[in-house]
Amino acid sequence: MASFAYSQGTIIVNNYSKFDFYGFLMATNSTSGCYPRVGNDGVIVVPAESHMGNGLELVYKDYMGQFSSSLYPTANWVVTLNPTSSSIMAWNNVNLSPGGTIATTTKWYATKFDMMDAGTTNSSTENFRANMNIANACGTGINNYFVTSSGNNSAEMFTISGITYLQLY
Amino acid sequence: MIVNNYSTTYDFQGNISAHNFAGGCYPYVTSSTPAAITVPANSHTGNGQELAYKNFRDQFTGSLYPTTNWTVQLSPTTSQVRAWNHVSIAPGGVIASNVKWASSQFQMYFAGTSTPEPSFSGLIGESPDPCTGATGYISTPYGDAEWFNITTGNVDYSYLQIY
Repeated sequence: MASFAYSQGTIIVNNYSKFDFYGFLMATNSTSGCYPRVGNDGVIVVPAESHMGNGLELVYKDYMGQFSSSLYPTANWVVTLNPTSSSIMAWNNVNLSPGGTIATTTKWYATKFDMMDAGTTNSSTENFRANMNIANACGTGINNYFVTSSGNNSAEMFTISGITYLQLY
Repeated sequence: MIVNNYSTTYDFQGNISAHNFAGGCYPYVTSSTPAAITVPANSHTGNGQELAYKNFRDQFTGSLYPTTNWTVQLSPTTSQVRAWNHVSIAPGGVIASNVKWASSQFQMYFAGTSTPEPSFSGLIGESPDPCTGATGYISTPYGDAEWFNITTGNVDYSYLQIY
């Protein structure tokens, strides 16, 4: 069934902030335990003010298809199958195909990011950086909202109907 | 969201909530400042004094009874407060597009006073709704409250009416 083929769900990143998002998006076992775990290898950059309102949001429907369909493609994924074994897989590695075991047993759950002044690699003086996650089978608890100490910026992560959203303000 | 308070004896004081109805209750958004929105006795569409909230943002400038802050729950265990004009809850955004008005926790007060009518209160809303457990109709010796929805021209209107 098609729904199984995309059980990892879609992830959408809406960056409404004036900073560039430099970060990682991670998926983990959707039912129990922490493996497999999948995250992008090279940092993903979603420029300031890139969101659904202007069609510049990041959309990853699956590990493989995102390379051709997303505005911000990930070429390589770090795949961790157990605590002692981790490997880098290219986006078109057959093991990452939508119907494969890795895709069908994982679900987006976490991010870590550092927001940079737009167009630079200088961390924002707002210290707008965080590790965040939604409820997950790995049992890390829920940490789905972050606000900077100044209160000027915030981020939220949540799931609606199989789509996981990370929104930065 | 429209609140018509046809009661001439009691002011309405309460909050208003909206939440996701498509598999799960979250996001869940509740008016939080003021803690209780007041719609005075005899305030309704008949005299143009009804409460009308088009969305979380525009109600602040467009409604007679504005809400300054909304509490947004993205999961059962976490929440944050968002000002009416925060992008997170703006019309067209993910949260606003995935929630629908659902319920109101209210208490009626003798008009112009802070004296409650203890028996005229409750949790009213869309019913049945496992997310809120609200009832759609409340009947008391002092008055009644009802919640219903009307869809016209692809726009959903939720009504809370007090008699």
